[in-house]
Amino acid sequence: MKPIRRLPLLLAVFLFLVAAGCATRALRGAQESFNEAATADMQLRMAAHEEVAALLGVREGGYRMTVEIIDGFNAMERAQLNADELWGNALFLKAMSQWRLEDYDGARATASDAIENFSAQLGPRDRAVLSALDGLIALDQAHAKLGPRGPGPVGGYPQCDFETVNQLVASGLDTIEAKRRDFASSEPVQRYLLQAKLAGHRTRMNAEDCRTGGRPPTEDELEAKRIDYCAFEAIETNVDTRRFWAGRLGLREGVCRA
Amino acid sequence: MDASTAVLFAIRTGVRLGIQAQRAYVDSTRGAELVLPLPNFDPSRDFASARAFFRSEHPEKLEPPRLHDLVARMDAPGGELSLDEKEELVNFHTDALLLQWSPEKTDRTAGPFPDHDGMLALVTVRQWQRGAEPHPSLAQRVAGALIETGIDYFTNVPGAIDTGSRGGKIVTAVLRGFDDIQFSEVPLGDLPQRLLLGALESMGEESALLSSDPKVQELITSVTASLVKDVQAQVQAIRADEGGNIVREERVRAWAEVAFRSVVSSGGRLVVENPQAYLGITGSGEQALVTHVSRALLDMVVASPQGELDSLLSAHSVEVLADAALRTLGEHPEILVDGKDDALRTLLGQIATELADYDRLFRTSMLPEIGRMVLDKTGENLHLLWPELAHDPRKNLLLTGANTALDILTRKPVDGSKWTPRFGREELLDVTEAVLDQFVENPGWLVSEAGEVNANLRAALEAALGVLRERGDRRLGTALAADIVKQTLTAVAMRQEFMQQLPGDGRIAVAAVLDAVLHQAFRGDLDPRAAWVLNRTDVVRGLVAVALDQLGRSSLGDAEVALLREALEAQANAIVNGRALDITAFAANLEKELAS
Repeated sequence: MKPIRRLPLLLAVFLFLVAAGCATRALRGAQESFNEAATADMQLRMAAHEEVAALLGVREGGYRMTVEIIDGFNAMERAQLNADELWGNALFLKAMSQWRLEDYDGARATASDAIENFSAQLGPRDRAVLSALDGLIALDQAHAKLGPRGPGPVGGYPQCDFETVNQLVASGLDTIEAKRRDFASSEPVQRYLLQAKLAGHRTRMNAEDCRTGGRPPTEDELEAKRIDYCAFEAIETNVDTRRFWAGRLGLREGVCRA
Repeated sequence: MDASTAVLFAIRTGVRLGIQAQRAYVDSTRGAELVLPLPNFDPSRDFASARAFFRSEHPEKLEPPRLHDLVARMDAPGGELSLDEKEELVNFHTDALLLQWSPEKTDRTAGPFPDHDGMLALVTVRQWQRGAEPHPSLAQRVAGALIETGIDYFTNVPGAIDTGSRGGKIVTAVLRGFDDIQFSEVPLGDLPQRLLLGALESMGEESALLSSDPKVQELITSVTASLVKDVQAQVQAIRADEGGNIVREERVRAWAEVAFRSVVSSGGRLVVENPQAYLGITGSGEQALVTHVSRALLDMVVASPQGELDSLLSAHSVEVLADAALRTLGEHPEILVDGKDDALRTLLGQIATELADYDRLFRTSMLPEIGRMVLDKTGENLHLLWPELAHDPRKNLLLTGANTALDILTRKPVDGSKWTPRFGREELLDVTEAVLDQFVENPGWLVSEAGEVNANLRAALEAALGVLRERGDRRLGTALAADIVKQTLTAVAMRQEFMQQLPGDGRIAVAAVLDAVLHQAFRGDLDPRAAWVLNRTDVVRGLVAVALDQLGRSSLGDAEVALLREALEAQANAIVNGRALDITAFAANLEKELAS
C-alpha cells in the first residue's frame, strides 16, 4: 500500500481517539465535582459558623452533580468507559456520593453492582471502600443518633441513647475491620479505613455523656481504640495528623509503646 | 526518504503518541487521588477527649492538685463536674498536649490541630501505592511510542541503516526482533540496549560469519523476539504476584541478556552449518529451535526459588549449557516434537535443581559441566536414556545416574573410616563422566527392563567407596581413588558375577577383590620394604587392574578371592626378600593359580 493511501485510516483512528476521550473527560468532571463536595464535607466539620451555609451548598451540590454526571452517561459512553475499565470507578463515585447524601439504600445498591459486576475494574482503594461501605454508613448513623450537641466544648450529647449508638459503632467497626484485613497493609486505602474507625471510636466517646445509659468505656473498648490508633500511627508519617487523632481520642504520647 | 513517506511517518508518530496519551489519560483517571470523606464525627476539642486523657493517667501523677481533685471527683460514684469545672479540665488537657508535643509553646490557641488543608491531607487517598501502578507510566508510554516509531523507521526505510556493514547487519537483525513489541506497554527497562550490545559484542569476532550468511541475522532476530516476549511475560507475572519488584525484574532482564549472548554466540556457527535444523519451523505455531533453547535457559535460572542459581551460574556456565543444548537438539529435533516444547525446559530445570545442592555444598562448580555431559550423552541413545521425554521429561536416566554418583561420591565418610578425603571437582567430573559413559556403552547392567535405573550402579559405587574408606589411608590420593572407582565400574560392566554376594566374605565380589588388593597395599603391619613399592600409585592402580581383570576371567567365589590374597601376600614377601615387582609376572602367576 502506498503511504498516502493510509491517510484515511490514520484519520479515522485519530477521530476515534477524540470521541473516546469525551466520556473519560466527563468522568474526570465527576471526580472533580466529587472532590469539591468531599472537601467541603470535611471542612464543614471544623467550619466557623458563618462558613457553614456556603460549604453545605458546595457539599450537597457537588455530590448531586457527581450522581447526575454518572447517571447521565448514555449507552455508548458507558460502553466506552467499560472498555477503558473506568465504569467501576464511576460507580464508586456514585455510591460514595449517595452515601454522603444519606441515600443509604441507593449507595448499597450501587456498591453491590460495582463489586458484583465490575470488580475487575476496581482499583484497591475503590474496592476496599465499597466493600466497607456498610460499616461507614453504620458509623454515620451512629453519629446521627448522638443527637444535637450542647453549646461549647463541654456541651456534649446529652439526648442520646448510649446502647443505640454503641451498637451501630460496634457494627461499623467490625465491618470495616473485616474488609480492611482483605487488603495489604501497604495499600494507601488502609490510612483512610483506619481513620474511619478512629472516627467511630470518637463517636463512642461522645456517647459516654448520653443521659440514657451513658457509661465509661470498658477495658476492651479502650484496648480496641488503642490498637486501631497504633495501627494508624504505624503507617502515618505526618506528625500533626497523628496528634490530631491522639488528641481527639484522649490518648497519650507513647501509648503505642505500651 | 520521499515526501509522502515523511508525511506518513509524521502522522503515524502522531497517532501513536495520541493513542498512548489517551491511554495515559485513562490510567490517570482510574488512579486519580480522591478526597474521601470520613463518616461524620465530632472533631472538636472537648470534654470527652480530656476525660479519656486524664483517666488513662495514674491518679498520683496528676498535677497540680486542682487537676487531681477534678479527676477524682469526676470518677467518684455519682460524681458530676459543673460546666465550669469541665471547661477547666478541657484547658488542662490542652496544656498537657502542648507540653507533651511542644514544651516551648504556651499559646493555647496555637495547638497541633489541623487547619482545613491539614484536614484534607487526612483523607486524600491514592488508588495504588507509589510505584505499584499496574499500568505503564506516561513517560514509558511516550518514550515507547517514539522507540516503536524509530524501529519502524530503521527497519522499513531503505538506506536508514547501512545494511552492508557488519554493525548495520547486527542492528537491523536486533531491530527486526523488536518489530512486534509494544514498548509503550511492556516494561522492558534497558533490555533493548542490552540485547543490542550483546549482539554486537557476541558477533564482534564473527564478522566473516556474519557477512557470509544471512541466517545468522535470522538467528539474532528470532532469539531477540523470543526473549523479549519471555521477559515481558516474566515481568508481568512478577507484577501480578506482588505488585512490582524491581530487584526481581532486573534479575530477569540480566539473565535474559546472558541467555541471549550464550545462544547467539554458540548458535552462530551451528546455524550456518545447519540452518534448517536451527531456524526451520515445521508447523504453524511452532518456534525455531534456537528460541526453545534461549527460553529454556532463561526459565532455568529465573524459576529457581529466591534466585538460588544466581551465585552458582556464570555467563560461561550458561554458554556451556546453551552449546550442549543446541547441539543435542540440533541432532535430535524430535525432542521438541515428542516433548511438546517442555522437555528441554524440564530437563534443564531438573539439572539445575538437582545438581545445585552439590555445587552449593562442595563449592565445585560442576553444574554446567555435568549438565553438558547429560545433554551431550543423552543424544547418543535418546530413546533409551530419555524414555519418557514426552510424558515425564524429568525421567532422564543420565541425570538420575549422575545424581546417584554424586550422592555417593560426596557423602561424608562414616565415623571410623581410615580414608577420609573428599573428592575434588575434577575427580567428581571424571567419575560422573565414566558413569554416564557406562549408560551409553553398557546400559544393560544399569537399566532395568522397565527402563529405569536399577540398583546396580548404587551397589557398585557404594561397594567401591566402602572399601576405599575402610582400607585406604593418607597415602591413597583422591585421583587414584577415582581411578579405582572407574575400574570397578568397567569390571562390573564386563562381568555380572562381580555383583553377586560371596557366601564367605558376605560382600559383593567386586568389593572383596578390591579389599584384597587395598588391604595388602595399605596394611599397617606391612614391611617397610614392601610398603615402599606397594604404596606407589601406579602399582596400586596396576594391581587393581590385574586383580579385576584376572578374576573377571575366572570363576568367581570366595576361593578365588583367597587365592588373590595369597598371591598378593607372596608378592609382598618377595619384595621384602629383595625381588623387584613385575606386574606382568604377577598377572601371569595369578592367572596360573586361578586356572589350577
